[in-house]
Amino acid sequence: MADIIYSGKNLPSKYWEDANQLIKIAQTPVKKHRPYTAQITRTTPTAFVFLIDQSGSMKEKVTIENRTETKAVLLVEFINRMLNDILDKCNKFGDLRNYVDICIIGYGGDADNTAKIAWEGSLKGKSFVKIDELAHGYVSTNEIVVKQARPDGTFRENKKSIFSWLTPKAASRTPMHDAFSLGHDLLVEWLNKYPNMDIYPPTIFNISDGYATDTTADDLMDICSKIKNISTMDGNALIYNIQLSTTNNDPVLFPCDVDELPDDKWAHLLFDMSSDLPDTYNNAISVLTMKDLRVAYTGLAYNCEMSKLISLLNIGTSTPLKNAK
Amino acid sequence: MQNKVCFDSVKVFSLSKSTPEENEDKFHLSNDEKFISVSDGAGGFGLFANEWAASLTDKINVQHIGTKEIFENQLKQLKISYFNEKEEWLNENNPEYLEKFFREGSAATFVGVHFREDVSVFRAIAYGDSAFFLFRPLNNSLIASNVNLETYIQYPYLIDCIDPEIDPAQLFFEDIEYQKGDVLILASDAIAQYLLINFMLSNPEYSNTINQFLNYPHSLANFINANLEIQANTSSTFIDLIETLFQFNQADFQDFIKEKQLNQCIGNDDYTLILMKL
Repeated sequence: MADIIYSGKNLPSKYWEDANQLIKIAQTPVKKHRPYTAQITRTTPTAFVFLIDQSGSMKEKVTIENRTETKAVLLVEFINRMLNDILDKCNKFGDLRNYVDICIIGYGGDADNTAKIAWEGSLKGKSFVKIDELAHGYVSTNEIVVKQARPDGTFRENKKSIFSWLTPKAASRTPMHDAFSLGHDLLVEWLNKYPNMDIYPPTIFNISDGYATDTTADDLMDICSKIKNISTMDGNALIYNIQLSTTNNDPVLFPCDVDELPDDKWAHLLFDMSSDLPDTYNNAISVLTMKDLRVAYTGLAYNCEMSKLISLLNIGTSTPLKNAK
Repeated sequence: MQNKVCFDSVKVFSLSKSTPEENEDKFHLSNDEKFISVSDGAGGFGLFANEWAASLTDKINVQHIGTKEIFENQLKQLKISYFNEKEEWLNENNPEYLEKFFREGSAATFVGVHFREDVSVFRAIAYGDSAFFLFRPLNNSLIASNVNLETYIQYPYLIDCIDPEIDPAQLFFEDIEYQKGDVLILASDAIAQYLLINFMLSNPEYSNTINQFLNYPHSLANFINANLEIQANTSSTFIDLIETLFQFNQADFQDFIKEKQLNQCIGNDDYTLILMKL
């Protein structure tokens, strides 16, 4: 099936006939005794989908390490940095290994209040981007110089290229439901490329500073349940929700229980929308949060400082890629 | 007792998960030095994993392994010369990778065995999850550099050319006494894990360990379960497995690994296995 180009909520009409069948295949039950153990390889990649808030509130300025920028600028910087990290992990001396397919969906950003795939430049029009496409599809590059040590204790200054794929946007309202809906449809299509294969389940990361403006709580829960029902034989798709804060007041990272959150309907809804994370993530979570290694965590960061974002995304992206071969 | 170790009887298998050129496992056998080693280059990290693994197997000098400290010092010198050589090469050919090489280097695990001339003793050195086993068929016992199955599911300790020191607490460095009829095994991690699982499954004293890991939420539990099912159906012992491996040629070994992969008994990796009857 050709790459589907989306601009709205649903599958284009020409795919409707296939849609029910595609969704049925993507929701086949888990077959493995111990899920989330599939080895990621070039023939069995996983998928990461990032839903990024581009609504008007992202114009608000925050200060990190004595630098004041809008949340939109900082979010795009973090996403670009994370894409650089993923590319670096998958680049074996020029051999670009397609361990992961990546999709970025922006919501808000334009006057039409919809979610759209956010790739720009030569990647515009694509949904999932493979690592070799990512390596050549950046829109700008910046060279920095870093001082690094040799094993004998001497130093050298080396150049490092930092690539950017996205530019910041901040306008309009927060069509979060539309973003989850688009993410769902794209994942259904993606999974049908790997039928009956031991694929590490895809992960959706939703990063926002506000409330959904295009839906009800029930509808948000409904679309997140649909996403969580998408499965490979290695387990169900995972959802992380990261709620950004400018105040840095009482952040709650990876709660075990809803009682850890403030008495706030939106916080509780986000908790229910997020996945229970498999135990394989516990080690990385306990290193970041100093929490108990042995309990089950939820993929939620509430009132998260912008500066913590890269560490949080690293847990979600590096844990599966650790075993890539 | 004079050392009667005969390197002619050594069985060596090395198999890549992709093409032979991409095999990141390296091994070295020297009849003159009475030295065998295996190194597993960490391809998921840094650059030139297979070349660093080859440097470790080919350039470790058995004259300089008298003590842990002497061995560590030898490693330090080897890292510096290897790093300088690669820096020079990158500078001329691929300067855009210098920053990554300085940041991540080249990393590998290592296991080596050096036989003493005068007595039935070998010195075993191991760092990371490449392992040696001394199997004694006479009483079905096993001496190993590592008998903790959990090690194989954790990120391994690696010898990285950018780190001036290794963690001395993680370095296995011991003299091991052997007997006639013992079997020496050196293996990279995936096949070492497979052998250790099968040894434990054929020994009731490890049933608690096996039960503990069967509930582990990791691929290790899948491997144990798959091997358990096969062993229940065939009732073969660990001795049978070792004898079968001794009968194999490279093609047989390849078929064996493919079958084990299909049955989910072993992970997808490069595989190096050295077997030697003592």
